Amino acid sequence: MRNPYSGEAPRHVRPRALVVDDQEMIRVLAARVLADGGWAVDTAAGIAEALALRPLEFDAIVIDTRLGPERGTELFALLRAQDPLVSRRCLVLTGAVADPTPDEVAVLLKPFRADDLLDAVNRLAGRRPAENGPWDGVRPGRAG
Amino acid sequence: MFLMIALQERESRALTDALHDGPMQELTGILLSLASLRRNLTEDLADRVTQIETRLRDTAATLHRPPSPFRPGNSPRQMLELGLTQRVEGVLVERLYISLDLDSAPPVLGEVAVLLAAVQLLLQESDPIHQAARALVSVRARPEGIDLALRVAYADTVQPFAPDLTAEADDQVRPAGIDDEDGPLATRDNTASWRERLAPIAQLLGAELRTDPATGAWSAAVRLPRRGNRQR
Repeated sequence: MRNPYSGEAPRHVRPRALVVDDQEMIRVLAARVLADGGWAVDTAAGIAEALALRPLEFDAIVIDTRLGPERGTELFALLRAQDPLVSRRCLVLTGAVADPTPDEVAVLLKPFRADDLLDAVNRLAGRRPAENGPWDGVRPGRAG
Repeated sequence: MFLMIALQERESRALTDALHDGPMQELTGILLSLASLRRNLTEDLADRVTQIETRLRDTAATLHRPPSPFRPGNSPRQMLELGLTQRVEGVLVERLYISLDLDSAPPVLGEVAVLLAAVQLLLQESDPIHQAARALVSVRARPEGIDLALRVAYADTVQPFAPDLTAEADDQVRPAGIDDEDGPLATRDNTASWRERLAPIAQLLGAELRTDPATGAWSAAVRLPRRGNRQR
């Protein structure tokens, strides 16, 4: 649960991430990467499934732009209507530069490395980038 | 011509979708799987796998298709510039120079599409095989009409469109995209066939064609009339 005043998660609790992707392979692998990075992860394959998990209670929400016939941006719009600041906790995954994405949301272009994903999600929660973050000029290291 | 650009847009979207739903998903899966494997490796091997991950990601990133020139929010100038640089430069001509004077009466989307299509058709039809070396596209938009000027030059022949004395004996138009025994340059060297090819397009566009025997360049000038009550 987030601290309503500071927006930070209590240190003794793992921050929670929700991964919304219609592709099971990506969903499972992304969840594993984030879990290894210290996150408690739930997954959803579509908008209805995501909404059932009460997404606004998560510290980070990772949404693919294309969820089969649905659009990840639709889910984002629904969340923003309830919480205008939710964009700070959202990361949009897209496989196409041409895909329209909300300006105020962090975007991660596919294909991405596990470290790219973990760093991007950590940034949402104000956590330190992973040790092997690609954008910090840090030498790539090893997980585990 | 508007339909031609609409078709290009549709094809581009289909390619983007196919790329997103296929290779980009697979490559992402591969990258995430590599990271999982890396955890069980020695430091040295893990470093090498990390390098492979980075190379794979960076290489795959180059496959991303650029946003459509006709993306909502783009100005007419952006549409035309992006359309020309994405779909003409490097495709129909090696080096493209663009001069746009649009501000006094900017073209609407349909007019931008027609301008882009006109340039594509003229270049494609002038030489169905080779890229031109250089081209200058100049567009001047005024309330009464839009003037398009296209000037094209080839680098590999001094006078590619100079009068060919043998043209009368060989005035058949060669099929597009097929080299003949005379080699690929023969198609372009034959002024008669070049004019025959471009004539229908020029007629369609109302274009005035000119050649410059001194340089081998050719040019086309088109005036696109505008309706009094333009709508976007």
